[in-house]
Amino acid sequence: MSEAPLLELRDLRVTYTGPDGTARAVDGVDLVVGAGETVGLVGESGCGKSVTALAILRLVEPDGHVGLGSSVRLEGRDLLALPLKELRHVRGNHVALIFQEPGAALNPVLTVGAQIAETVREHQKVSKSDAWARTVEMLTLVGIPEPEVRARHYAHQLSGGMRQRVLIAMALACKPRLLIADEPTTALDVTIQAEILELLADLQRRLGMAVLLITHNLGVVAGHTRRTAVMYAGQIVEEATTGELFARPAHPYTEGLLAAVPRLGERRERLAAIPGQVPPATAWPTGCRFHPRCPYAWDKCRGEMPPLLDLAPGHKARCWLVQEPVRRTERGPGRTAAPPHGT
Amino acid sequence: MTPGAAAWRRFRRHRPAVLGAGLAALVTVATLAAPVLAPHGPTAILDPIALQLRPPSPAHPLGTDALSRDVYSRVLHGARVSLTVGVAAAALATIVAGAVGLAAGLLGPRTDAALMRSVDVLLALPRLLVVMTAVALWESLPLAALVGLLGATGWFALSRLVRSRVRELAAADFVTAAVALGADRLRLARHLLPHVGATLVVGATLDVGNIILLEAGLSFLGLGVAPPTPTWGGMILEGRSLMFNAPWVALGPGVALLLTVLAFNLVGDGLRDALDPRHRGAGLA
Amino acid sequence: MNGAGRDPAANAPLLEVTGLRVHFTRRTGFFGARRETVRAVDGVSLAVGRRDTLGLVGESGCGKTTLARAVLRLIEPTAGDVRFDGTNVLGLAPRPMRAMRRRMQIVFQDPWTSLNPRMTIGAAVREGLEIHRLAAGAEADRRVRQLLEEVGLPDDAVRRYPHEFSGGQRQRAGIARALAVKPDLIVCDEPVSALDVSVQAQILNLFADLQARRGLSYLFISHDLAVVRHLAPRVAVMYLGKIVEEGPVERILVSPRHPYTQALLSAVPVPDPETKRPRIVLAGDPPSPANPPPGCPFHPRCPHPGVDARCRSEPPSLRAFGEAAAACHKAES
Repeated sequence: MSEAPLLELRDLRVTYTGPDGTARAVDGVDLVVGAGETVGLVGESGCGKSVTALAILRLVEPDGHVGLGSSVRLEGRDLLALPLKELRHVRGNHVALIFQEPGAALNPVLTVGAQIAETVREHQKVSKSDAWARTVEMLTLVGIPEPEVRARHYAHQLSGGMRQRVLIAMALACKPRLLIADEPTTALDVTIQAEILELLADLQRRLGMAVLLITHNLGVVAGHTRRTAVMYAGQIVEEATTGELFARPAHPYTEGLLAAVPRLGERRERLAAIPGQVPPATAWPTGCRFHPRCPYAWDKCRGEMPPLLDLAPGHKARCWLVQEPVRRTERGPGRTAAPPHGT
Repeated sequence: MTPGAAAWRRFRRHRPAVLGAGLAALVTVATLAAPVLAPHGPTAILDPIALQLRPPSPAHPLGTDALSRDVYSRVLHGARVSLTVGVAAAALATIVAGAVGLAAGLLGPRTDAALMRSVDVLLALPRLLVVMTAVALWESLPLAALVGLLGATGWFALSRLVRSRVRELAAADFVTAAVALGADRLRLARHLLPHVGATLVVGATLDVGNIILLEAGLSFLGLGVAPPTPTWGGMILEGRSLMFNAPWVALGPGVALLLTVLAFNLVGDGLRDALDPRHRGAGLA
Repeated sequence: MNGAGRDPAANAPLLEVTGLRVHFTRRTGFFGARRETVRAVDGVSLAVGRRDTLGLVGESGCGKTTLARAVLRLIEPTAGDVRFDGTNVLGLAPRPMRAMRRRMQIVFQDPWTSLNPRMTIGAAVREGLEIHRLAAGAEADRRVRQLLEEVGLPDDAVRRYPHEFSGGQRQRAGIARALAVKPDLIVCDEPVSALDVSVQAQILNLFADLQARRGLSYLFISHDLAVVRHLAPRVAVMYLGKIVEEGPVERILVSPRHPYTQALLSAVPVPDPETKRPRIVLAGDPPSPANPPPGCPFHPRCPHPGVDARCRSEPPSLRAFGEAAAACHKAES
């Protein structure tokens, strides 16, 4: 892409200091999202993906500290350096964020319509009636039947799927250029989840919006993203187009995740589980952070942290195997499934 | 770290609570060591002419009263009454509240309804008046009886708190797991006791202050523990008419009373924050 | 009535549920003037054999968790029959019921609330041994250590508290607790739903190992079809308190008969970008068990083109289709 990317994260670092020490929740993340693109960010709990999402909009302060060298550029402007007043203008207007628990994000004492209208008026100088018209327009856009009626309902009167639609409507009310969706469907039933994901894809096409889709569910990224980055221990460990990532995973963690997911298609006797557990953010292992759990690890992995190495155009992995692929065959794909002291 | 250790750490960070704990410790020491700490006996009438109504001085830090007694010594001895009554009655009230709350929460809806409706009725009674009436009708009230009365009238609200906490917890999976294992209700109560323990301890501590004030109030009205045993309330009563010429007679016990009640309230607050289930790691909220 | 597809000549089932209903009444409306009945479980029959696993799938509100608890009499059913190894569970007096509880245990979904935060892991695992007087003192200690090892927890877990462990480890502790009394059946209520993918795989492998080693039976409940498929040879699909389809898992996945099962399958996200499936859209919201539609409970959302008056008025019963069964008027063989 020759044009400047819509969102560019460079060396993003976020730390939290607590009684147990300093947690380096996000530790040097580089990520690019192009205009109109859907990028997936996949990882399990403790990998730092949610903190990354919050950091983009500077929502981690005051508990968390963003590293001095980090930058978050939206269309060239560094959000981390913006004065608060301008940042508020960006939040909700140019970049919108939706979370996992739609119920928790909605104010229980206001009607949903009032909340959406409030967001609109916050960012755009429109009259109350115009804001209301926009609200109804958004509710229709997200597929809520009888939007004028529903707009006067309260959050508790709506089902989980409806609430998530309302949140999406609220997020999109000001036609942001980027939507960050942090586990938007995890709390929803499978059938509703599929609807919401399709809705997001549809809206994205219609509005030309970019989406950063954050999830732990590999199935969700498989169907809905063009590029995917995998996070582990505060870092991106692999990045590729989604098809390439699933077909030819380069990082052992990605391989492990793919092998561990039970599939509808074929039944395997044992799921190939990744031994051990995610280390705490206060004590990342030295060298490659995945090495204690990696079936291929050798001395270099224990001593030196690999940078993101290019495997093929557009496919990067943070693994020394990229330079020494022959070591992969030395160990073979077998993994112990039941570790002595598991997670 | 055990839950207890974590709670202790939280308590330590709460400065007013630590201050309160310090004060409470001081008062406790005074109570226990009064006979040793007090330079004079509580009823000792010193030089009746030279030492009558003398203002505070190095020899008598809180002055002397109308009967030439050392106020400081009497305040120390008065602490014994206040604290004994306070702690003992609060303990009694807590035990009853705990038992009633657990029973209401665990023994089924009918027991629950019966107990809680009774509590509703009992809560309507004004505590001070009830105690006053009982005390007034009782000639020469022994200390134990006073403790019993104050304790017996103090468990109502706390039992409601306990019962609601029990109901909340009873829905938790770990309680269901215990039932699935075959636990009987006694064992379930044991599961829940550490959880309601927090509620009870906080309730008890805050109640100590109330009870001390009640006892002082009774003494001030001439009821309660009989003279010549010094009580703070009684001393304030004596000092009331002397407020202009010899304020120290009433102020000594008055300030002592204030600091003691404040101490227990601060500790109670600190305990509540430290033991609040919402603060517990990933525990129950 | 029984799980279709079971060989009738095989052993009598370990767990046999017939016509189970669990209805709750609650007050709603202004000042609680109205009463409504929530039909959480509305006529469910199923069977689990020895050393067998029956999978139960459904989405929120379908009643699967209520069913799990009702089968173990942790909730009292409103009607129906539950027989364990021939004994009528629902008719037992408290003392024999307690003895029966040894044989059927439960593992919960939420690792954060399923263990008492004020009890050490060791005490939690030990409790079953104490209640049923299976071991005491040093012998009990030994058994606890053995159980911890079996589920993959370190020895020192005995002295430590749940909050010091991760979600997966807490689930292991919950499993150890259930195993302590040597049950024949374990009801697994979404035991891996709250866990990360890599941890989930470990726990699923553990379940499989335990079944092989101890001859356990499982009633395995999940909303995730892929998980159920991994562990269970037979599966039942629940919707609004009723079983709408059941049979061998291969059959159900390859050729589901009930429109809900078809929609459910089409909605499962597949970790493979190449797969393109037509997705079946379900209209409307999931209904509330307090207000079930008349006739077939699925008819308001059913995408089948032939939904008719019969669907709207007559509740379908389970009809056999070879080794499977589906409750649909329109399903064809």
